[in-house]
Amino acid sequence: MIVVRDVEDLKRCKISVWLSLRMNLQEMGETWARGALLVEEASKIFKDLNIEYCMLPVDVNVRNMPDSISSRFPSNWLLRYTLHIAEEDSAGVGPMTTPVKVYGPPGQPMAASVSRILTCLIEKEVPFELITVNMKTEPKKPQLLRIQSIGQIPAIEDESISLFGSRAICRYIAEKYADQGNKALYGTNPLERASIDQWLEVEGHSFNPPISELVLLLAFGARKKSKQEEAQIKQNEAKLNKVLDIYERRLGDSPYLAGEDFTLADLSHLPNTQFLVTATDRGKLFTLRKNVGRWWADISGRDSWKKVVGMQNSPPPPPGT
Amino acid sequence: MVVKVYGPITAACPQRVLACLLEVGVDFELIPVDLESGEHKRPEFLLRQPFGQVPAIEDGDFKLFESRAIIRYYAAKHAESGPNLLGSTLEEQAQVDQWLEVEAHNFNEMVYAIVLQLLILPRMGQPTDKALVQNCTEKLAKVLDVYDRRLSTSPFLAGEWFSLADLSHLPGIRYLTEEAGLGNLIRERNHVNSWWITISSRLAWKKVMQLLN
Repeated sequence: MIVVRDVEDLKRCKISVWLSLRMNLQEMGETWARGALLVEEASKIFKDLNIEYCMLPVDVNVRNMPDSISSRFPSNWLLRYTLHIAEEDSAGVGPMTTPVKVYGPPGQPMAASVSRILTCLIEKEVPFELITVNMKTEPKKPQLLRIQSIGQIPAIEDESISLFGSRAICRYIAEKYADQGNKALYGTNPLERASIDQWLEVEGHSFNPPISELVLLLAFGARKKSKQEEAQIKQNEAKLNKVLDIYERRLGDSPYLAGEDFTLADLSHLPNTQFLVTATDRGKLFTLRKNVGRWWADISGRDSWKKVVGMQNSPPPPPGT
Repeated sequence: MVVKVYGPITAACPQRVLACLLEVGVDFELIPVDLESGEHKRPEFLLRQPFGQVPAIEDGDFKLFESRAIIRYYAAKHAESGPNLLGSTLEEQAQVDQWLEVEAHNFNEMVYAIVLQLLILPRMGQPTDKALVQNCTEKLAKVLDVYDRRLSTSPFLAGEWFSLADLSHLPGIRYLTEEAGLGNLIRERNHVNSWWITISSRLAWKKVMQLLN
């Protein structure tokens, strides 16, 4: 039974949902178990529909509290939303995988390192759950310190491991799920993999430093730049131009950085390039180069990247409304 | 087949590659590249490494650059025959990757900035930015604190055994303790110090040091 209780501000509707359960008074244990399942199912439905709900307080036996390194958080500590890859896409692939937990910083837009990881997970058709954690305002919880001893996120946790470092995470996911999703992502033989590793290192050492500085200064910095900042912008733009000249030659020889296929090496470039192209006026560094422009249009048009960009544009519902 | 390694023995990244090749028992030929005269920026070298950096390798027809990609390739290639520098399970390998990434981004960035200011710029007749060195040293100290905590729970970064993650630090820490005069950063941290003593005593690294001297 659903009872509409109130309409607030012409945009919020308060309802009560009364669940009914047939019970056998001789078998209370079984009844309570079924009742628990019913409540769990209801809460799943509420989550799917983005309906914020609260349960009435229950007396809890303190001697049966969950382990202190449980990864579950009270809902008012952080924002939490779930993206499940549609099960029909992975029909016949094998047993359902437990979603990989991805811990990332809150707020929009999504951090480059997080979107790098999510793109990889989507390419490999691995279900995941994004859990945002504010490392500044949340006290250092033991379970997070275990996951990320450097004190920076993102990090992932699945049934076998906790791991940090976005490129290490991408390598792990690509290797663990080698047989599903995009199979060429981390190469199908040692020589292909060596080429991918080579360009992944280039991305990390030569490409990422200047472009992330530029993005920080141009897209997320103050509107009026100091003299020092102007100089830094010039410096980093010059460095990035040098790297992109090399990419232009490389991408004239092959369609993607590591060779014939889209791989982790190309994927790793997506987040910061997207910021530069959409949030600053320096996108022409990419679009005005023939081969780099072609490559950028190709990799940014992939379904996986479009999905991650879509996640950034629709923020999750705020807690407690 | 002998692997040709292009680069000077004095530079950190070629040292990293040689340490790995010696660990897994691959024969190599070191072909020096004269950085002082700008050999690495000339067209012939740029064909080998388009960013004008060392090292680059040539193994028959197979060519590769970026030291951490090179060590991954050879460690994987000889995982069965030599010491296992990459771990035996997917999870162990992920730990190695994780700490390799830490070395490349958190550790190496600071060490490289310090080396640039204290060693490279003066050699080119340019002044040292002392404030920057101080800043980087403080950041590096914080990173080493995290290492110290990690190494109090296991003898090596990725776990119970020596891996590429530990090996990758050898050239950088050598610079810190020798030319840069920042050995105190290592000595002041018990676990980092015993780890450094252990990994720098390895035969392969000692051979690299012999080549250097």
